[in-house]
Amino acid sequence: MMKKNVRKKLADKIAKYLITVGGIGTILAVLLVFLFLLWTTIPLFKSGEVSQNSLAKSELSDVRHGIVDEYGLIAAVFDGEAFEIVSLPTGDVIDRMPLKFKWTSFGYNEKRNSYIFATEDGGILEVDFEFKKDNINQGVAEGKARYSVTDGRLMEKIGDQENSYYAGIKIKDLIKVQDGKKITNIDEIRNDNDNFVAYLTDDKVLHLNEVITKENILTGEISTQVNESNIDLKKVLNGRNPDYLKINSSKTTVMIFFKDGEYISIDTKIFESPKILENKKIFSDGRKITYLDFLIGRNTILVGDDKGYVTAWWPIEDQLNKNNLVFSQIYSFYSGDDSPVRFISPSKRDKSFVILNEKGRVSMYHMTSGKHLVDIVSNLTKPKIALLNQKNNKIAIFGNKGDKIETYDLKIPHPEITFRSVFGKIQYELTSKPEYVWQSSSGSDDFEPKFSLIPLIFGTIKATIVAMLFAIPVAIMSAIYTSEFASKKIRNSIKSTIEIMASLPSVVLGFIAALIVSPFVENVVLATIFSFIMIPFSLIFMGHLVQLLPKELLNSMGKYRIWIILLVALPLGLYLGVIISSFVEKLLFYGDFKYWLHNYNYSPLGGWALILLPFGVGITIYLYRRFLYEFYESLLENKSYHQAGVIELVKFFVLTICSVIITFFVAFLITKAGIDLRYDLPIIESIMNTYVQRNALIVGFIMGFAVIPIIYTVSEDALNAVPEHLRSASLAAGATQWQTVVNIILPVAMSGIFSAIMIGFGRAIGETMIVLMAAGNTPIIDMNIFSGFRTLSANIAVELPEAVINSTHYRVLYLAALVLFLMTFIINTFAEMIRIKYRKKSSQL
Amino acid sequence: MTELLEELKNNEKKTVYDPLLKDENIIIDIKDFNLYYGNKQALFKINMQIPKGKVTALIGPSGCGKSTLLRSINRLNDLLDYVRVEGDILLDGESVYDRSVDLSELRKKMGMVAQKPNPFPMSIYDNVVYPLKINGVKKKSILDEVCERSLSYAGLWDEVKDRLKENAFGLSGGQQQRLCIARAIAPEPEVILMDEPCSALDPIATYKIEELILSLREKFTVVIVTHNMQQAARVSDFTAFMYMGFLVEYGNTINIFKKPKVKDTEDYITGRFG
Repeated sequence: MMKKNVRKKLADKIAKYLITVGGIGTILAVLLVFLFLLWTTIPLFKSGEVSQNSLAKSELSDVRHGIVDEYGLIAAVFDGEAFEIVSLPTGDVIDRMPLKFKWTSFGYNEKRNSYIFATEDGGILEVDFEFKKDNINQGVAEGKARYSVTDGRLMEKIGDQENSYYAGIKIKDLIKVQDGKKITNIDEIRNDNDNFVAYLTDDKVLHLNEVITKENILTGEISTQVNESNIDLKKVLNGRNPDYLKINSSKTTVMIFFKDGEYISIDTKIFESPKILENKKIFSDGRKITYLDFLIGRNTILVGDDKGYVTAWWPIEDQLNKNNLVFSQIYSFYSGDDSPVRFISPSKRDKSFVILNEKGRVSMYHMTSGKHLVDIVSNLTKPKIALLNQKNNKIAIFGNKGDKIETYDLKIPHPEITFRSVFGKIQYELTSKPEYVWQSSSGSDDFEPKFSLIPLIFGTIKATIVAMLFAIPVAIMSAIYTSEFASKKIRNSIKSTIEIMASLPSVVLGFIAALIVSPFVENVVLATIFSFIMIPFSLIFMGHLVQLLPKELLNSMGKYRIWIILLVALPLGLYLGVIISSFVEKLLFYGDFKYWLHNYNYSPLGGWALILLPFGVGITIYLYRRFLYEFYESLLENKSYHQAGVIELVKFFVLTICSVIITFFVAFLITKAGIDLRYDLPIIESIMNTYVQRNALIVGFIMGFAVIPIIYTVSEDALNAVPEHLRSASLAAGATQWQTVVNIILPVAMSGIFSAIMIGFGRAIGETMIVLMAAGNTPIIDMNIFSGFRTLSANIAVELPEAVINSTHYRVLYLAALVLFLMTFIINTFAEMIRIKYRKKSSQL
Repeated sequence: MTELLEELKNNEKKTVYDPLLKDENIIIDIKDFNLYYGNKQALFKINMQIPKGKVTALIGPSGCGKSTLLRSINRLNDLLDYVRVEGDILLDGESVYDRSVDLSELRKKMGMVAQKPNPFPMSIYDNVVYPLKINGVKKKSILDEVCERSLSYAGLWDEVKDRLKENAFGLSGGQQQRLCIARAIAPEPEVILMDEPCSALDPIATYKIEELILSLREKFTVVIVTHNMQQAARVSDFTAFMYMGFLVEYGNTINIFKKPKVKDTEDYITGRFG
């Protein structure tokens, strides 16, 4: 006896602890997931970290421009007479190459680490740098310093090994200007196979020179084609020498700037006949240009001015004439002081850049996100240039002759992410207006990833809403049917069938959606839509027809009449859907619905009628209830059962026709007002437009199937939880089953049904496989029900495997996960709160 | 017990009737009524005539089938699909169990008051006029009038007339039950079926309900199921004693209580079992 008691107590205790541990564990697990997501995403929003690395004595003369190698250890700087290769940690000049020619103008090609020079005698030369790193696997002397210079190389000691850094210089003659005119400005763009040079000679003629090199794959023979053209700029230049000349990346525009802010652009789209595009002052407040350069990619011009600002410019569409491009200021950045901008060093990695002003303040910004990454004040007396290395992790600042070289270590992990760039509209390079864009990767190097989560959130909500529009009525109607009308046997079989539906893997549903349903629906779009209209119609129609049967027969059919009605109404609805849709397609959609969708010459009347039909029905029912109900009641007075049935049927047809007429009337008015639902609606733009095979309609339909079971199960439980005595009280008061449902059961179960809907909502939001397979995965914001979209969950599934760990992309995907987590968490919490409240309320009954 | 079951199955047992019933105007006529819950028989060959304008009480120990019989009269048992019936019940000479009968029409003729007060989760006013509203009555003047009349009849009008729009759950248990009675009589049914209406109430509320039942007799036929013998004695004109699904004895209440003819009845009334 005692033994048993002890065992009982022990079992009780173990169970208690296990349950406690399990419960707390669950909460901890959820919390941990949340914290993990938070912990992964928080670094995205940090700005840069700076630490001073070294301050080395240098023997340099006045520096004008320069290049820093990938590691930020050696630099090639240009002082006007020579190039010097400098070791940044020690400040030594390890190599010096004086220019053997007198130059008049030079340009810099950031892509190839090269300079182009125009010489006094009309030649054009190119100076190429190649930074190299060798690993020397020999024993290193013990006491050797970390950095040392030997034989024109910078040696770096790491453990018992050494790396050596050095630069190779190559000088190449490019073109010789025939008549020996002096070149005042020059710029070039060079790719592997072609070379585009623009130069202005002192007779104010702009010359364009294009060299295209082709290699025959079979013979290996190299052929070169040289094109030349020019444009006389005497009139616009008016004897002045421009200060900057730049060619844009697509070689379509040559831009000329004066320090006073005048801007002249020459359209070179047609190489043979360039023409002047724009000529204007870019600043209206009299600011002067003090420095000017391209951002990476040669699309954005960064203009540093004497007030301490750097503005970013590119041509955007003119608001009046969309074909006209106007050079406009898009962004503005403050250098930190009201002193002139001295130098701008664009990053070679992303859209960030470093500003150096006359006061020696160095600021680093990311252009599109506007994130302020770095803010340093240089210790040099008069800093001249600040150079950023390729990895964006070092800044080297050079000063006057005899000054030191200052280097800073940077840590800027995610320059392109701010709260605004993830959730707000961003104006990306070369676009005309701010937009929400998700585009995480591309083939080109100077591509800027675009991480707006809004298109994904939009896609998620779009998918969810369309799915819920389909799932809610079906699930709740079937819950009402099984809990209130069906016999126990039917109820059990329906319930288990729906539960089997829940166990269908969503990948199977997605497969069905993508490979069976969407190709099928694509051919019968309008018939599908009309079936959704005609099936309820034919159900109601059958309901009216059945009333014409003798009352005795009807009552003796009992519960089977629902099945009999369904058996006739379903095929009838489908048949009517097909028949009417083909008729309507000819009548309203010019014979082809899908063509009508994107041919705006066709009248939008049919589309409007289709969209407005539910409203037409609603208005008709409202008007009938408001004005005709009593007349109708008086008609029914003193009529036999059969006569009443006939009157009901006539009423049904009259109301149907009225709905159609009202719908068309409204559709006609809107069409007359000139509003087209395919392209010019306010805010949402379009409701229906070009048909894409995998679209919101298909996803809504199939995802509806995935959420029906959960909504059904929970709302069926809510309906069943309505106390039996209320049901029988209502029935005993003479209410029909339907009246009982509408007046008593539904109001009581409403909160439970609501929470069922919210749980379904949560499920639909997180659904991945179906949307992944059937939604087309296009991250666009488009209300069009016939277009695809991409959801947060599908996006994570698609992109996470290819995202580099801890990269910006990787962390943004975790941010997407966090957003998804919060969305479902909020919705589920909300649903649970309502459910608990409802449980309390129902215990009162 | 098993002997009794055998007797019942073999139709050997016969109900004892009080001859006084012959003079009454009959409204409900139960004829050879058998009821099965699945395979289990719950009512055995009930033959019973309920007089119009009188209070008839059904008494008997728990599980004897009195509630089942009451719910068979307005076919509430039909809600359960494993219920099967044999025989017939006539209301005003018309079969209740005919296949062509419209259940909602039928139930409109019979108000019902349940064991536990079961007001709907809506206002007092809406509760009372619910049977009329579902019947398509929309005129506010009619609804107001019916509401006042029914509540007055149920003796609740003075207590609630200032808070008709308040939720019915705000009332006390006894008030709720009288509200349910008001709801039952609102559509002016012919019969009011009461299923142990006082079992969930305190003595004072019970007293009020009993008073009400007595006054209802003027206008309606009342069939009441009760556990409480004193209550049956106080409010009813006729009493039926049921035992194990069988109608043992049925007759004038005074006769049943004063000189029962069957020994089981006597045992039950005197409290020897039940």
